[in-house]
Amino acid sequence: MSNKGQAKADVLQGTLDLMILQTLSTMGSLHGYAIAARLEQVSAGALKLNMGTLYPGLMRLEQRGLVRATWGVTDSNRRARFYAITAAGRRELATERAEWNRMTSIMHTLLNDEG
Amino acid sequence: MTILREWLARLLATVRANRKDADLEEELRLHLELAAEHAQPNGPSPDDARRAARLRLGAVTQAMDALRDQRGLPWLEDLAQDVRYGLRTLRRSPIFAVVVVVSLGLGIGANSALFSLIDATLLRKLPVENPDELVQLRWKAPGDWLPERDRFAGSAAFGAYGRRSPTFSNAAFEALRDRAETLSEIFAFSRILPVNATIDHQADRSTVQLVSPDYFAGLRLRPAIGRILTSDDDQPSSEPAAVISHRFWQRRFDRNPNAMGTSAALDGLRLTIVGVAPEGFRGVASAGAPGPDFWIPLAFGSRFGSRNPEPGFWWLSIMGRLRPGVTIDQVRDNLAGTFRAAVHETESTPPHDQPQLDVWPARRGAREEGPEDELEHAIVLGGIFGILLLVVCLNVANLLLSRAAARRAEIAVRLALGAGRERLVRQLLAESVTLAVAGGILGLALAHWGKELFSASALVPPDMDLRIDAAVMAATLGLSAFAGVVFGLVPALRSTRNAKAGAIEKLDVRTGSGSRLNRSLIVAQVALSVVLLVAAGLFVRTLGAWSTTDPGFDADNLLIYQVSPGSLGYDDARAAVLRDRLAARVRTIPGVAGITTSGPFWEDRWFGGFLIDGERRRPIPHWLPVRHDFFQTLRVPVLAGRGFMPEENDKAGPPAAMVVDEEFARLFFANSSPIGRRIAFRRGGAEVEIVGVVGKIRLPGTLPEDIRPRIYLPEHTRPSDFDPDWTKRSAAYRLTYDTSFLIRTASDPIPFLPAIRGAIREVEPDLAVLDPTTLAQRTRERLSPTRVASVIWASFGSVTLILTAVGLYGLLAYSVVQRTREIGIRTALGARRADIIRLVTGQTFVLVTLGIVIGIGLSLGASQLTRAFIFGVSVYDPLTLVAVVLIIALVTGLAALLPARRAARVDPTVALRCQ
Repeated sequence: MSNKGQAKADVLQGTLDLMILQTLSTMGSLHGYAIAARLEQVSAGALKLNMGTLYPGLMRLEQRGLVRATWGVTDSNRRARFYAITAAGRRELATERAEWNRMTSIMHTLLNDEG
Repeated sequence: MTILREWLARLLATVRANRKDADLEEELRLHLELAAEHAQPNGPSPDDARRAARLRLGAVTQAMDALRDQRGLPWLEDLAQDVRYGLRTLRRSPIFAVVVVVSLGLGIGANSALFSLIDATLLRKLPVENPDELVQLRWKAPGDWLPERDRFAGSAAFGAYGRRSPTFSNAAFEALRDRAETLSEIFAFSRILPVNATIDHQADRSTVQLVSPDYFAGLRLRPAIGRILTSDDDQPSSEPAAVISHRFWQRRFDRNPNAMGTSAALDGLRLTIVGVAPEGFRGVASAGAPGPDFWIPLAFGSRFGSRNPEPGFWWLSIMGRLRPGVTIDQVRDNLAGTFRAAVHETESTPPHDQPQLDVWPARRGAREEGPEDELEHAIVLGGIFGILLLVVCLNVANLLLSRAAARRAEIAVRLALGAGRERLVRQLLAESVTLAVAGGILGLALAHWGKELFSASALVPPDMDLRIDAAVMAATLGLSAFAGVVFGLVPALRSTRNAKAGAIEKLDVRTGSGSRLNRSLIVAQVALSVVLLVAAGLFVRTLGAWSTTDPGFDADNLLIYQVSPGSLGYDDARAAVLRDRLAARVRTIPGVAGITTSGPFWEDRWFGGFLIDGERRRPIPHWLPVRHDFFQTLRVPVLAGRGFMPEENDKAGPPAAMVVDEEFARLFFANSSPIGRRIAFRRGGAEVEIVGVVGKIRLPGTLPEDIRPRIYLPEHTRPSDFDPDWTKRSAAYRLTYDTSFLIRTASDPIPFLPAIRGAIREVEPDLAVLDPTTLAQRTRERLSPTRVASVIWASFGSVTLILTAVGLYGLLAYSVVQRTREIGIRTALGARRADIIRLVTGQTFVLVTLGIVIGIGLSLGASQLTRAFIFGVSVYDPLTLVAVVLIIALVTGLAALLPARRAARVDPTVALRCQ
């Protein structure tokens, strides 16, 4: 595993988890591509997740018990792995969301005071 | 918490891959398909489709890598893979693996087992509070001065440092105790003495230590149950009380608390058991020594049995506890004057030979010998272990080096194919650490076995606590893993470095100093093997010699035990009456076919010189007073003349008749019959007539050179019959004689013991049956140290020999690989196979021969050390020497031949082409 790839992923990692959890929280059970599509859609195309980032992220959340995955069938009748947020995931989301808001408001104040 | 859960999941995923790669790939494929449909709702153009497929392939591979890394723990998987690979490689060369594991195991196991022994005997502190505060008082004199009342006691050692002793008189102890401001506690204790202990009408041999009342308080010991001794117990008027050891409580009372308040008689002194010492406390003797069963107050010394010395005797050991901040020198300054004054009170000392007080640390217990000796032991033993382990590591390193050299080609190929050097080194290390840990585990098993061997032997006291605890185990395994890394790293780094450079020819062909070290190591190891194997061989021969030695009497169904009426206060006349009553009572037991008595049967006592026709003769014979039916009961043949008559048994005064053995007759009457000749024991003393000659008796454990002629005298005979001063001399030490009972039974005698004990109890309840045994059992006991020694030496010898062979093999195998090119050239130039074999093994022959010569020299020089264990075999036993030399030649020859044969098979064209 190259170190550069690791560093790039790290930048996104904290927010990626939060984004996935929030998406699953509002949209319910989704498969991987649907999550990526949803994030691309809400960011108006700014956020294009590649598979090498999204799926290890999902696996990590699964290993931590924050999401649960089950094999199911899509609308177009294809086998897919659906991810759903767990109770622990919701608690984590609440904590992380509060932390995020606190951080951004600090940053907001700081940056605008300077400006 | 959630992080922990992730790692746990990853760890589990490493152990059992729960999501298969196919599963992951399916998910990714769906993603791509959906993405493609999304981008091109109407289907892709051919160009686009090809490009997308290529991208897709790369993306899937990349994502799969990321997923696999996230799924498990990559480094753990690598490690597991390395270990699996290592095991697979080792399976392909099982002999190499077994040899390495066994030699490591033996080295480590021997070290651990002996460490547990050293720990128990030398290193462990006394199990009391703050043992570091304890000191022992002793004295030393520059010359060979001894107190008047210690002259024969033998507690004082005379050596290079002058006279040293740990014992003091009661008066000296009291003076020191009253002046010891630098000590918070000071207490005294006697040696451990054997006694008859009668509890609940059953008399047994037991041991007692007399202690001053502060003994337990000074050691800050709390009783397991009951109470400890206090100064109230030490008044002559107080009720006699005793504290028993935890072990004795367990053995005799099965840990029953009701034992408190039980009455016991020690050599006739009635006392009450008031407490049990804490578990694990075995007295203040050093950790290796056995503890007493009873502790009783000093005040009862004068009332207690026969073995307590007279007033003024120097017999007490003294220990104390340092006050906080006080040094040993301050204690010496504090008490030196008091000691001098106490000595002058009772003793006369020459001006140039003044005894001085000496103070030693006693955290590991009171000792007979000095701290210098202790340090010497530790250094010698530690040195042996260090050398042994070093030899093991060097040998295994050698072996790994030769193996790594042999694998150069494989390693070069793998490096060329792109394997990382780091990974290769890691792989080689995993292999050596796997070997090392396997060796460590085997070592622990062997150490456990060795520990059992020590415990089962007579080498250590039965209650000595040998343990291989968690610390020893951790140290052993850690050490072996460390050894694995150390001796694996050099070969691993070396082989990968050279191979990577692609310059195999540049491999340093001569490692001058290294191989000189190796060569000296081989010589030293061969020499060591010779010494150890010769010792082992002599022990084995001793065992063999003994099992075939004729004792000179019929030992089948013969039970032998002692009684010690003198210690219960019987004088000679009353002891004789008691003896006859005991014999008469025992004879009534059904199945007892015969009974006779004698002086102490197992002890080789001699009275002193004797004269034939007024001329003093040597060697001094053993003499044994025996009952008239002794020879009949033991079936010792009467070769000439007659045995004793019943009326000769009890006649008081100097005896008129004596019987000698054939050895005596051979030595002193070679050319004439001894019958009718007269012998005197002192010049001008009464003469005794020789009336008979009997066969030789040989007791187990007698050295051939110690077999002395024997004189048998009627049972009533005492040294005082010949020496008027004897009574006076022996009275100072209250010497009494034990009586041996020799009982012939109809069948195996051991089951008769309870009946015999019962019969004795009826006659004299306080009289213990001492050491009941048979000759076979006695022989086993006496030979047990020899047997254990032979096992220990043989194991060490075999270990060393295996290691030597391993080292030799490694050295030669390595040199063959290094010299492949040279061998190739020689072969090409016409060298024959025999020449090549000679080239490779020639040096070995010199090294091994040198080692054997040195080893034989050493073992002949060291024979004094082993002599104590060897009976019936000369220490220069040629059979043993020849056998050892043959074994060593065979093993080392084999170790040398394997690499030599490989060298001889070198194909010159291949050898020249490959390098």
